[in-house]
Amino acid sequence: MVDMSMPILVVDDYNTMIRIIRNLLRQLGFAEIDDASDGSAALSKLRAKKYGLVISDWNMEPMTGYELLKEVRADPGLSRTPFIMVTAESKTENVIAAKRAGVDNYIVKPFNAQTLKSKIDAVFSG
Amino acid sequence: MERNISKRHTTASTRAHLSAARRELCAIVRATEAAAGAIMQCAENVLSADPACAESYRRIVGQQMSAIFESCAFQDITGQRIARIIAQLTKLELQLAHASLRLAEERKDDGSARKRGPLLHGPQPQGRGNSQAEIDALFLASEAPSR
Repeated sequence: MVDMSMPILVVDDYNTMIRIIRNLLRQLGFAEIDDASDGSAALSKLRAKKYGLVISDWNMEPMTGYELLKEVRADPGLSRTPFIMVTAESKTENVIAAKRAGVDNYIVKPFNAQTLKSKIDAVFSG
Repeated sequence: MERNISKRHTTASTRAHLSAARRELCAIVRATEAAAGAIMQCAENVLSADPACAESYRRIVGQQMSAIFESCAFQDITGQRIARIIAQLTKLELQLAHASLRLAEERKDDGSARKRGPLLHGPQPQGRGNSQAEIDALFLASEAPSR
């Protein structure tokens, strides 16, 4: 069961993509959505506030989404935070690397609200 | 002497083509970002409008739809810019082909081409990379660490 009141952190270096994901999440009924423009900014926010879900892009600077994922999984206080990668990186090696690093689901861009919903549902039903 | 003059001309010309292409690409990035921002702003205005007053709601929706159509005009401009970039790249491709032929005559390729960072490939062309369905299958099949 997905808690619609949980705070969600959206991490992407493109403001446009943040707005798209934010609006899709609002359509799905989520109310509390924060954002960060790269992995290190996200990590600071994650350490300052408890989030129910992280939705992150991969290719960002200075800290990528993949590095953020590894930092999150290595931090005892954050390691159980659900993490969905949303990225244009669609090669097999990326999916396997992300899964090995502990990602909970993987969405390839471009995507729609239905895909986002089904992956969020899958993360919280698993 | 003749070869040096030719090399200098090629380098200057290559720089000019790349510089022009870079300027066009920067303009495209700005235009698409501005258009996407404007279109999303219209959508957000519609979503936040109060439908209780039908007349006012219709007016707002109408205005915002017109603004969306206006914002889509970026496609025409960026199309023209992209056409110019293609022309620049075609010229550059020809120059590089000539330069590479000349270089091949002078020395062997040492194979030290710069490679991109690990795991960063960017968007794949149509038919390359994996679809969402393929990624889902891969995701289920690959090994997850215990947490």
